Amino acid sequence: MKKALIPITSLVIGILLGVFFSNYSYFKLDNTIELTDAAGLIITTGIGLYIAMTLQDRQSINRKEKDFIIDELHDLLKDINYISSCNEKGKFPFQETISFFKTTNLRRLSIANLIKISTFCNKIKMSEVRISFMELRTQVTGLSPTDTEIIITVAQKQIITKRIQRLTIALYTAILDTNKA
Amino acid sequence: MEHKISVAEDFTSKPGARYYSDGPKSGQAFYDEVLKAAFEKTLNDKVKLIVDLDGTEGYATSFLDEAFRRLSDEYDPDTVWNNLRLISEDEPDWIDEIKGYIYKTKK
Repeated sequence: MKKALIPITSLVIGILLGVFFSNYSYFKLDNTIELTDAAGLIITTGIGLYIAMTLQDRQSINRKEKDFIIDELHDLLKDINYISSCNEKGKFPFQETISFFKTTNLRRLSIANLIKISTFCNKIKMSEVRISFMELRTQVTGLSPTDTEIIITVAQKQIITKRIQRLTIALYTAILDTNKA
Repeated sequence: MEHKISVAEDFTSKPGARYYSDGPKSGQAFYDEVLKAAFEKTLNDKVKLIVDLDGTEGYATSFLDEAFRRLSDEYDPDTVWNNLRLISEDEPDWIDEIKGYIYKTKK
């Protein structure tokens, strides 16, 4: 019922306007209508309603698909905060960081697969996300731990910050591209 | 016919970092204790070595780099790559990364 609201409202307004103009003496209208004209009116109205409802359905599915993928990408963006906060502190707990990167990568792969099978968003490129993610992972997990932590120097912190920024930009680009799709 | 090793089953589900000095279950230890012997056996038997990377809690890039780079330093990159088959269904990107480690020049 909700889907048909706009076309039905338009039809009612059209009818009211028609009644108004036919009673308003400035407009001279016939009191009779040809059968062919009536049939044309009904068919045109029917086609208009059908197109409006079909398009509305399609738009609704399109929006739901995009919103779902955008939510997943946002969650991935939030995950990166863990690395940012460790970077700020200047140390990464070794085993936890290794597990974090694996879990986050699995999430990224899942999103990439969702995009591939989606109807409206399958042209979105995730290659920059993949590359920048691996670069960040290499930069952090390529370092040697001391006891159970990876302690970073100021220079390493700056490099990691750049890698995080690159990944963040790649994720935002993917979100914007998904929205535009 | 192929020989198969699994990092998770034959070594550890929590791989460490690069060297012995970095802590337990390092890439160096994996090479010395598992990978080198397995690869030599497959060369002698003229079969491929399958290395299954799945089932661990994750890898440090230093672990994989150390283990496979040592292998390519010991033999040569083409011999290693042509006699190796990697399984990584969890994270397929590791396969290309390891190929990159194998084909990097000696340090």
